[in-house]
Order: sequence, then C-alpha cells, then structure tokens
Amino acid sequence: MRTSPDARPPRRAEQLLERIVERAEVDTLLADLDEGFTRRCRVDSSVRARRWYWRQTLILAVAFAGIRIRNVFTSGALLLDTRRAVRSLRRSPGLTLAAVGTLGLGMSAPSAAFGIISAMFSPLPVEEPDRVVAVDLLDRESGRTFAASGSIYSAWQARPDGFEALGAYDDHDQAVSGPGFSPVRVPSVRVTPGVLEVLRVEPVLGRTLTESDAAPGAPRTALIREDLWDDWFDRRPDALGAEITMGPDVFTVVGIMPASFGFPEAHQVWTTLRSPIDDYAQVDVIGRLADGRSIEAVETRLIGSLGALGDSTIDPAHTSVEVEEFVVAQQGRRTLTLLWGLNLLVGLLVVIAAANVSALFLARGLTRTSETALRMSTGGGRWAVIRPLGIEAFIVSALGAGIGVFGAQAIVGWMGATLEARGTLPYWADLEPSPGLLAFALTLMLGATVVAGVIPAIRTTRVDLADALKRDSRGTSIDRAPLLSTLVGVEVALACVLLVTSTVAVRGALGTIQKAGAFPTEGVLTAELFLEPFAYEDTAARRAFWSGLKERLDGDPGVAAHTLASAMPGDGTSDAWIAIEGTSWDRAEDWPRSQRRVVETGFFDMFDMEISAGRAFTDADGPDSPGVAVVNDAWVDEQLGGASPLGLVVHVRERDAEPVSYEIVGQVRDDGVSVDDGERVAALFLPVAQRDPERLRIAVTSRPGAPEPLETLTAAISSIDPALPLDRVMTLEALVRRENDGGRVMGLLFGSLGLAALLLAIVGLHGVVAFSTSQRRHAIGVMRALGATETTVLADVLGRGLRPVGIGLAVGLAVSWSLTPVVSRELLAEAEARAHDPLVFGLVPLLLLSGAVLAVVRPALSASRVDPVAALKAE
Amino acid sequence: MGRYILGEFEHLVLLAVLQLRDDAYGVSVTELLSEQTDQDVAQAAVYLTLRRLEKKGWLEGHTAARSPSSGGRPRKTYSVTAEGRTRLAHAQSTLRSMWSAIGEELS
Repeated sequence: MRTSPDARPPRRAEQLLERIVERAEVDTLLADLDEGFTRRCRVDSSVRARRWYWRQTLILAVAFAGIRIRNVFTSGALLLDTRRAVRSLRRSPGLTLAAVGTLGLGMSAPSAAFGIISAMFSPLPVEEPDRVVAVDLLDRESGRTFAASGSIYSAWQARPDGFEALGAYDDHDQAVSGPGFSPVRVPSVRVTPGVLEVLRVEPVLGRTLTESDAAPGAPRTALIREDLWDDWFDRRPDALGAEITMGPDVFTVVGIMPASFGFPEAHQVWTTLRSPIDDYAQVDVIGRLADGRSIEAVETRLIGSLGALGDSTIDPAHTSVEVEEFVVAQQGRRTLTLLWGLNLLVGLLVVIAAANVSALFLARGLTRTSETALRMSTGGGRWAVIRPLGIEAFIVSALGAGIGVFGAQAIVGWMGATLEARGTLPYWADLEPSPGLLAFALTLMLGATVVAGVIPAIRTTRVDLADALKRDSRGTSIDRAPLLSTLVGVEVALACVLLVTSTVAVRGALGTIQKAGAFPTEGVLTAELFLEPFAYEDTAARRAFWSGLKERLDGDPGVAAHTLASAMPGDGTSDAWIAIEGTSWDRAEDWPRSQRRVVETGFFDMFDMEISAGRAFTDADGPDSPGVAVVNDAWVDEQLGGASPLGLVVHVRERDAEPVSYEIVGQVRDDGVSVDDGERVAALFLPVAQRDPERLRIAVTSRPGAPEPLETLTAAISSIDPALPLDRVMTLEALVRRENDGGRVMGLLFGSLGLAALLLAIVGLHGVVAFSTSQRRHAIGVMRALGATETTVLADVLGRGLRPVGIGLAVGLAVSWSLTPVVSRELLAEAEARAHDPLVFGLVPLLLLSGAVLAVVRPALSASRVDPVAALKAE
Repeated sequence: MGRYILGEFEHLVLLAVLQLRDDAYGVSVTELLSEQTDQDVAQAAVYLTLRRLEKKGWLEGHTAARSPSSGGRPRKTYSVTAEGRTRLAHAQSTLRSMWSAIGEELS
C-alpha cells in the first residue's frame, strides 16, 4: 500500500536524535533517514514506514549514546570535569562539608538497619544453607507455630520422604560441672544425631554424636564448644574422655565443636536426645531437604500426611505444618517483615538528606545561570553542563556513602558486641560488611547522586539562553524557584513524618524503662538460684533449702540485708489468673490476670516499699498458716477502684493448677518498682514460705568493711549445697539496666532518627535560605533604598523562607495522621489508640517550626541590615 | 597492514561506495547492499559503518547541497580514499590466496 507523499517522519524520533547526536552530524543523518522514509512510503503504508523510522532511530540512539559515553572516558573530558568538580567543591568548603555530612548522616541509619537485618538473617554457616529447614506445626486459627510431639517426629522420621536427613532437638539448660571447674550454667541442647547430619558440621577434635550414642542404655556422651574446651581444659587433648556432670547425669566428652558453631542459637554443649523420644515430649524438628525438593513441595506432602500419622492430639482441620528456612523460622518471619518496615521508615532519612543537598545544589546552580548559559551557548550543549554538576554530586554522595558505611559498621559492631556479651548473638550472625550492604550503600549513593546532583543540574540547564545572558547574576529567591521551594517543602514534610513516628516510638520505648531512683540499688548484688528437680525432689527439700539459706544469711554479721524474690524490683515477672472472692466468671480463662511476685519477708523493707495499709509478711506466715497476700496501690486502683483491699480473699490460679486462696493483709506503695507503658504495674505479692518455688533470685548487700556480697553469698550457698551454681550474677543496677536495654536501645534509635531528621531539615532550610538571601542582596538593597524598613525586610525574608515550611508541615502532619496508626500497630506493636497522641502532634510541628524560624532568622536578620548603598555599589 | 581490521560488512560497504561512484550516500548504499545481498539491510547499520570507515580514513565524506528528497537537509556523500583502496586490494589478494589454497573443495 502506497502512502500519501505528504507523510512526515515521526517528529519525536527526530527530536530524540537531535538530542543525542552532535549538532554537526545530525543534519546529514536526518537527511538520509528522511529520504529512506520517503522511499519506504512509496512502497509501503505510513505506519510501517514510521515503524521502520523508529527502528533505525533506536539503533542509532543506542549506538551514539555508547559513542558519547566512550568519548567521555577516552577524550579526557571526564578527568577535566572531575578536576572542575573538585575545584568547585573546594571553592565552597562549607557547602561541601554540609552536603557530605548530611548525606553521611542520612545514609548511616538505613545502612545500619540494613546491616542489622543482614546480620540477623545471615544464612547458616553450613553447606547449602537454603536446604536446611525447620519443620513446625501450625495452629491454623492463630497462625502460631509450635513444636512437634515426639510421636509426630518419630512418624516423620520413619518416612523421611523429601528430606536427606531429619533431626530433633530440645533446649536443655542445665548446670555443668566437671574436673577442675565449679558448677556453671551454660546453654546446652539435646540433639538427635540426625541434627548433626543435617548441619554437616565437623568437630575440631574427636567425633560428633552417632546413632550408637542415642541407643537406649548407651553411655551418655557430649560435645563441647571450642571456647569451653579452652576455659575448662586449656585445649588439652585429654578433654576427650573427660567426664562432665549435667544435672543428675555424667557425660563423657567425645568431641570439640568449632567456636563458630552454636546450634540452635548460641549454645555451647550438645548431648544426645536418646531414642525412642517420649511420645509426649515437645521437640523442635530440623531437616535437610533432599536435592531438588522445594520447601513448598515438602510442606504440601507433610500437610497431606498429617491425618495419617494416627496422632489423636492432632486435628488436621485445625493444625497444619510449616516448613521454613531455619534462620527465618528461628528469628520469625514477622520480625523480618517488621525490620524491613522499619528500614523503609529509616530510609526516609536518606530522602530528606538527598532533598537537602539537592536544594543546596539547586540554590547554588540558580546563581550560576549566566555561567551555565555561557557554556551552553559556546557549543558545550546541556550535557557538558550537566556532567560536571553530576560529578560533583557523585563525589559528595560517594564521600557520604563512605561515612554511611563506616557509621553503619560501627553501629552494627556495637550491637553485635552487646548481644555477644549477653550471650544472645545467634551463631550465624555475620557482622562483617556484606556485599549486600555495600550494594545497598551503592544504590543509596547513586540515588542520592541523581536526586542531589543530576536533577538540580537538569533544572539549571533549562534556561532561556538569551534571557539568562542578558540578565546579570542577581541571584534568586526561594519563592522564585518552584523546584527549590518544593524541595524544601518535601524535606519538611518528610522530616515531620519521621519526627512524629519516631516520637510515638520513643514514647512507647521510654514507657518500658523502669524509673531509676524509685528503689535503692546501690551495693545490691543479685543472683539466680534454680533447685533442679533431680536434686530437690519435693516441696520439703526445696523449703528446707530456702529457709536454710535465710537462716544462714540472717546469722552472717557481714550481711546488711538480703531477700529472695521471684523477680527483683524493675525486673519483669510472670502473670497469674486472679479472682476476688465474690466475683464470678463463666469460664476460668476469663479470670483477670495480674502480675504475681513471690517475695520473702524482708523484701519490702530492703527496697523501701512503704506499707500504706495493713501489714507486710512476717515469719509467722508459714506454709501451714492461712495464705496471705499483699497488693500494691496500682492493683487496688485497677481491681477495686481504690477501695480498701484488706480482708478480701483472692483466688490465684497458676497455669494448669488448682486455684489457691489468699487473704489480702497489706497494701504497699511501689512507685516505679515496675512500670509498663509509663504506668505502674498492678502486682500481687505472695510469701515465699507459702509457695513452692524452684527458681528464685536473691539480693544481698554487705555492711561496710564486711566481705563482698558475692563472697558471702557463695560461702552461704556452698555450705548448704556445694553443687548448686549461682546463675546470672549481677548487681541490681545491671539487672535493671538489662531490663531497660530494649526500651533504651529503641528509644535511642528512634530518638536519634527523629533528631537527625530535625537537624537535617534545619540545616537544609538554613542553607537554602541563607544562600538565596545572600543572592538577593541587590534586590534587598533596592527595597531598602526605596524606603523599606529593617522590619519590612525581616518580615519579607521570613515569609519567603517559611512559606514552603508551612505547606510541608501541613502535608507532613496529614500524612503522619494517617500513617501513625499503621506504624504503631504493625511496626511498633503499640496501641493504635495512642498513635494520635495530641502531645506528639502538638510538639512536633512546634519543634519543626521553631527549628525553621531558627534556620531562617539569621539570614533574615543579616538581610535586614543590608546597607543599600553598599549593596547597590557592589552590583 | 594498518591498525584497523576490515570487517565483512565494512568490506561490503566499501565495495558498494566504489560501485556507486559519485552517488554513494546512506540511502543508495543501503539499497545497493539490500539488492546484492538479498537481505533487508538496516539503514542505521549502514550509516554507522560509513561513519566508522570515515574515522578509519578509508572513506572521505563530502557534504552535498540540500535536496528536497532529504527533507531539505544537506546530504553527505562518500568516496573511497587511496588508503581505503589499498586496504581493499590487500583484502582481495588475501582472500584470493586463501581461496586458491582451498582449491575446488567447496565447489
């Protein structure tokens, strides 16, 4: 089909070539293409001819773009532009430092968040880690996973279809003692030999556990980690064959595992989980997928066969199976989602920083309009102007990224060291900078380069050459540059969102921090004591120990005070179900819950907790006398609306036990003893003598000149039971600090994030306003010459500077209002209701506005003092 | 023999320019090559090759007057330089000697 002779080549294709191909060449190129197009039209439809034209254009566009890039690298233009960029950056050191610092600060936080996520979710340090999976049962209703029973594991083990190896383990934390070292509690775990097959980890000395170790009646064997081998045996080879005691059993050490091994988390001793595993025991299951099998396929097979297992406790309608990569299962998929959500939030900081630098570069670029126009008019083209500006941004971003990675690594290292000191750093956590982190920083850097440099550069080159050359450099004001004021607005809006969110988070985090100074902590040493069932078989044995310890410490003249308690002040404890006599509940599950603390008689005295009504516990409140309880003010407010609790009987039900009744005999003030969300926690205290605790914490203080509390305590305990280890020994201060760590770290993290956002917004705004004001000296001079007063000029500059701030703030508040409930609920696990905290929504705009006024007022004041004669003469 | 390699397509383009004498430009070279090779040769590829051969010094470009057929734009014609002719002659003799060594094997 022939086409009309008037058909024209696609204009956009021509424009594309005009942009890419050098001016000297583009005309002859288009001459050929146009003729080719005309000839095509003679024999073909215009649609096909146009398609042909576009195809030729795209080939040429790609080829010429390649030629241009090659030319930049081979012609020395890149070197020249880089030199020019470095010179330009050195000419304005203040601006460069501000830009580098801003980007460095902006990149540190998200890079650190990325580094932490990467470390916590690093792959297991084993062969083909993606084939190592955790197999759990899943409650379909709640979506929660739970460990399989011994019988289910045995059924899976009998038909390990889809798995190359399958193993089970259970945490078995016990005190360990051996030749030459005193009893100590180390994280230990019982594993089936299958676990070591799944992990394919070799010992550094000796052997691993085999099926013969797991056989019924076989001698008990254990593996210990290299660091324990060092501590206990000075790396002597005769450690193999040495006997260690764990609980009631004696184990022979048969292998030393590498220091880098800590399965399942940060464990140091592995013993055998013997066959057959008790049907009702709960075990965690781990498997290595057979080659070529996917997680989904294996999971489907296990779900399908769940009904056929013949386990009466499993109803396939309510229970399913979940197979997940081991690390993801261990850390929790939700944690991963939360961390990425937080990272996204933290990522806003980079956007603010980049917008900040972009605004600075744009402000500077707008003052160079005539220089830009000159370069473009002398044949350089837009590219020649954009290139050096882009390189400047690249240098600044690269330096910022360097600071970012360095800062991130410092934060990740600090976090790793803290977790390691507490023994909670998972053994797979790789704290080295990963290629992923570097790639992440590189992406941030390139993004920042585009936002901070290339966009302002393109904007700068969109000038009317004639107009720009006619005008001299009179500078620009923030309101005459829409992109500049938009950037300031965006920056303020983002800062507002980040500040609101982080303030909500900080409030939540600080709420969990126990109040310092509410109870005496100085000189108080605490330790945990666990009376293992094999050694203390009945209530009488345990009571004898607790009362023996009390007598022993009472009789020690060096002890100033001591007490036993299920939890010390400031430390968390478990809840129990309670029902006040006279109230009735349809179901036992509906009983209200209350914090339950088991304490010894001296507890209230030792921590200055004043009894406000009734009495404290006495030695007369023994096991055979009627049950008594003391409640705190918060409990009275919560349960009784402030009415007197004395004489009331309360039924206390622990998990799976019959309720026990106690008469409330006292009320205690406990300001700050335990707080949650900033509120005092309602608590019910029960006497140690009337309970049967296996595990209690002891607190001791010594008199001046007497031996240290640890010495006294160790002597007292070893005189009663030399095999009982003192566990988690720490001062009360350290205990409270540890309890507060989570809140403090979160508070610090979000606090610094919010502060950084505020700081960046202030610095950015100040930079832009100061720069544009200094460029408007001439205009201000004219204003002053025409009779404007200092106040008029001040108001003018303030108004121009604060207008985009106001708009940004309004947008930011609106976004925050709709975002905070989601962030509170999904990311911070906070109550949604507190998301719209009036204090936060009042405080943040006030802070930002004060910051903005602070940022604008200095340049405004300096502008108002412009001497009209000097300003006009300078022109 | 010079620092540049003569590619197969470049070889064909040089021969087409020689053949077209004074009328060698993008469109005419493309049409001749399409005709002789019985393939749809991309004009963009021809243009880029002409440009490359000019950079190598084997072609010389001449900007001709503006013509209505090329949308009123100046057309660029090409001629083979002495260096280009030498390169072609060398390529021809190389090919001839290579072919003679093969003899009748492919026929």
